[in-house]
Amino acid sequence: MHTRQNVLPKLTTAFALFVMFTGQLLLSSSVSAQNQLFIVVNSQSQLDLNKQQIRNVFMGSANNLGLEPVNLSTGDLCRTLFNLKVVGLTESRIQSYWAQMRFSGRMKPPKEVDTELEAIAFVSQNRNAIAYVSSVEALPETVKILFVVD
Amino acid sequence: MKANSFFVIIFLFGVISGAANGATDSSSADKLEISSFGRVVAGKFDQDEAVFRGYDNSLSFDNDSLVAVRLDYQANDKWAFVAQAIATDDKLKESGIQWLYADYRPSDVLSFKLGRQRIPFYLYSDVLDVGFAYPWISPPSPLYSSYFFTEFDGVLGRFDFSNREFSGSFESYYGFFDGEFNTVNATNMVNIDYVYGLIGLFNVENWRYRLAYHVGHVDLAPDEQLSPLIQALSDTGFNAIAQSLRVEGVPEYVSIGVDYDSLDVFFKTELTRISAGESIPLVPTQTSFYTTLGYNFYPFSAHLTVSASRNRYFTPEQTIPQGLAPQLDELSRLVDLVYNTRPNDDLKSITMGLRYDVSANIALKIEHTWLEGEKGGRALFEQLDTTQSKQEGQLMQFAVEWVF
Repeated sequence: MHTRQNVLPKLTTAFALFVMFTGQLLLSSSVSAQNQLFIVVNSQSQLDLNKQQIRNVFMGSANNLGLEPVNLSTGDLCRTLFNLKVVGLTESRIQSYWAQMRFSGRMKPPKEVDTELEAIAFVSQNRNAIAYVSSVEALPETVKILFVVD
Repeated sequence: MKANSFFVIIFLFGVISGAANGATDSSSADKLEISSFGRVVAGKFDQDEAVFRGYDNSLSFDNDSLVAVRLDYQANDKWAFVAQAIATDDKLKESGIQWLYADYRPSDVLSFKLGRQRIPFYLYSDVLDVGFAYPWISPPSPLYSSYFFTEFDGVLGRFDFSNREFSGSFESYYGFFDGEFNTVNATNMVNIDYVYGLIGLFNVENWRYRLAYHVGHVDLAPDEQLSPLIQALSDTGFNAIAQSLRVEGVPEYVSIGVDYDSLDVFFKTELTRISAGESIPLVPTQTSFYTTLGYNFYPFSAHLTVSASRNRYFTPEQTIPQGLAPQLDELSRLVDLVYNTRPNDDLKSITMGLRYDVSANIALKIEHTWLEGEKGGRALFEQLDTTQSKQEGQLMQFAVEWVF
């Protein structure tokens, strides 16, 4: 015969397992979301770029495309992921590269903003802008996803 | 060396006219960008008698330390004006304005620089003072210590290209130069009637390939000790031999470079050849290379660099007749002495270095270099250890590099 006292521990255990399982799912999805990058451009842009071209844009070697890249500030996690997944260089190597480009008079590094919201706002207002963000939940209609980096 | 006054006028005109047009514009201050770079380098050479690049057996902070300021004035969408000046105690450099040019960009892929600028001989020639831009403290000496001149007054054009697979650029320049040229133990006046070059750069994924060709007419003022001999040879009709003792001719530079960068490792190599052929017997045909292998463990990176140079002189036929007169015999002897005492700067080096990126714009470096010359050679040493048949030693350096 099942009494309330016998059922309660089982329910408690089941509930605890449910919370742990759900939490793990949520954690996994948030980690996955954090590891995903979204390359965004203005909605009016007709561009179709591959990953190599996106890298070239942010390294200043695709000037013929007439794009204005926007970087997040150094130390931003999203920027670190972009360096890892798209540029394929460490932050220090990228800084050395831009020191060479800047002080040889060849080109200047991309514009930098402090937050992803600022990057999205800049892309929204500039037809030739391109940026990267980790979340597209708050993307306005004037900004679209060009490329997804897993 | 002093910047040509013509380019000073161009720069000031550009800045003043741009400032005048934007006098009531609150964004005019935004048009002027001031940046800076610098380095403090401490070094010590382990030899009691020999001196290499200014380093002896006492700790020195003078030789490679410098601070520089750069002004970029963006007059409008197409025109900018740039000035860059350095201050240093390095004997091989001169404090003052290094770069002074107008930058014109008619399109996204085309640009021109008009004025005083650095010659892009090798991969890092035009940023040699920006230690933050490269992994070493001292770029490999067998290669980066060897050219007649580093700057020119003229025009440099650049064209960029890219597609879905690769990107690159072509650069070409033409100009001239008149000023001082510093070597390991002398400063001479040099006149470059013309110098021009073509540089191709090609990028595929993490690889960068560079091919460059430079040529110019050089006329270096004769060494004070050689001037009387040159004059005596000219006076006695041996004009060809007199000319062979002058550094005047057309040297050519060819360089090939390959660069690979990834998250874990980096690799750089350059192979160069400088040759004046038979036109300048006092200048050797030099073949140099370096190879750097590096490993990244952010924020640290380590490198191992091997470098070497080989110099070979051309000796023209001696046409002064022997045994006719004591004066001619003496001239012949002196000419032979000059040919036989041309310095041998063959040099081999191995460098191990470590870099720590403190922040996005400050780096610390430490480096140890083993140097070895050939028997009886100078090996680019400023002061030789006369007790040794072969110049060699170890150079230890520590540096703080920054850019702002």
